[in-house]
Amino acid sequence: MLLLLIMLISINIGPYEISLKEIIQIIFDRLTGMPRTDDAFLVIWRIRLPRILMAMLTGFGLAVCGATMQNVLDNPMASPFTLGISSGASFGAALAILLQIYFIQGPYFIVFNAFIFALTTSIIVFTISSRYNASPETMILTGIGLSFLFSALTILLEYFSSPEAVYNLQFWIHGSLGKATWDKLSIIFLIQVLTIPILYWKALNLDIMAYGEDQATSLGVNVKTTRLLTAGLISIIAASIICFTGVIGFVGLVSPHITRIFLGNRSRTVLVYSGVIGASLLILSDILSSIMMPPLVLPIGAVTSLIGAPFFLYLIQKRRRFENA
Amino acid sequence: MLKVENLSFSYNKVQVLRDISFNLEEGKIIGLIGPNGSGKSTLLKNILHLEKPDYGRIKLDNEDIARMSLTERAKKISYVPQFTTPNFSHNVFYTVLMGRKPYIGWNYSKEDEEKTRQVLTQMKLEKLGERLFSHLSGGEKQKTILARAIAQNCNVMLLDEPTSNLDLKHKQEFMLILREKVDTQKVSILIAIHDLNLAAAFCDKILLLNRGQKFMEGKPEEVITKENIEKIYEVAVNILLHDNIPYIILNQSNSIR
Repeated sequence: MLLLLIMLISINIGPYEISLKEIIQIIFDRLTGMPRTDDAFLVIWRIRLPRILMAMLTGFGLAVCGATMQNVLDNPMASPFTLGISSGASFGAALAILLQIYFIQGPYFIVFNAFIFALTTSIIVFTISSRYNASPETMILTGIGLSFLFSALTILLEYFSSPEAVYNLQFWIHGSLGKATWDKLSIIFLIQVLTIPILYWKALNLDIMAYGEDQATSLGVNVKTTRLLTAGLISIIAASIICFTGVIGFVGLVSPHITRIFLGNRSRTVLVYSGVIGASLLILSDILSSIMMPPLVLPIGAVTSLIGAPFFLYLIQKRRRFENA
Repeated sequence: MLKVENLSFSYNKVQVLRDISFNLEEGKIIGLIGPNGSGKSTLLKNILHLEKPDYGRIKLDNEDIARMSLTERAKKISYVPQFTTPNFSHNVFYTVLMGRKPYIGWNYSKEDEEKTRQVLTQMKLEKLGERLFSHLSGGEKQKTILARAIAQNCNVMLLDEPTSNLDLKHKQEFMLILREKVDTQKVSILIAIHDLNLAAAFCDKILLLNRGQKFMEGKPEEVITKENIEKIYEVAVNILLHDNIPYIILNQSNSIR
């Protein structure tokens, strides 16, 4: 409900004044196949709606990834980027933007690079850590190690590039929802629809795995498979999002914790509600990013952290664990 | 019931268990004793197939446990390990409910919840149901993990030093719960245990391990003798017999004789 409300407010905001009644009319017309080409229609259907849905899917997806990652590793500091996904993606984008090295031609060349490198990074993390029974510690340390490696490579590339190219890269890295289109949305949506139910299904295993590998195995949980499957799906979801939006990190860390403080640690609960909170948080940040200094639109990644971090710090201070875990 | 035949296991080429054989009969508790590093935990893990034996066979009702699926095994053998407290822990009810995992499909059913409630009542844990596992005392945590294993509803239970961190009252309470399971429901229990007096008082049989080998197996008063304990544990002791249960008294001087 809260999520719907925020979406409604959000769709109302923008330099072009459109009444709520008009907006509903536009969406209704479009869904019933009525042809329209006026400005109001274009603003809503081509710009605002995709942007809001992008914020929603991004927030939902990253928060679900964060919640699951924290459970897989039983580590409160884990986020979707623990597996080195963001630094891999940034390096992929750097290769495309700074060195013009890319795999496919056309408008998606940066996106594809980012996606491939994000995924490659997590595959390396898996390969290395599954040799040591894929223990949480090994996964985290390998992820951190690779992150440093890719950050170093990106910095080196920047060092030898023109200021203009570096600016373009920084703009990409800081994250933006502005370039949302229905095509991109359907890709992200399809991936989430296919993967999140599996994560939800396996969430029960993650709860049990928190009590130790041997205990979980003796209760019939295949620990290694569960760990690799869930972490693999997370990598795909996160990579599919940030290759379009750039690095929007904080939402994936903070949304699960907000959920945990109020609703306890059951993985399935955390998964669903942190998704909703993540989506709300990102739509809210998107509103703020466009109304704080109009007509400038501030980088969404920064705004998310700006409003999320103080709230998060406040909650941690005030933490009162509700005993209905 | 449970048959261990010629079990050998090595870890990183170091032999940890050597040619161990014994039977765990229905409705009996075997106390697994031996000094630190004698292979007690490793033996339990091999029986659970958490570690794969190099040689030998473990049979449950004449079925090789290596041939069973994870879920099948989980319906037959439950395990109380030395517990860890997770960062993200849950309330006691849900923690015990996890014991129903081998029986569920998509989610825990009403029946599973009912079964969990029964176990909590039996073990007088119902008041703790809503408490967070990480907020419990050591004794309460250990009881919760035992409750989970009981909710798992297996004929064989393996426990790894569950009483080490418990005070006198909790130790007795814990062992009485096991005794009742064994006596009323014909469950078979293998329990690794450091407290020899506790083992002697509550176990039907004692299995003494030394450096990965079975040193002796028998009734408590047969195994826990001055000679055996001094030899294997390398301490000087006296043994008192009370109701035919051996009771160990450490000598003041540290050396043997």
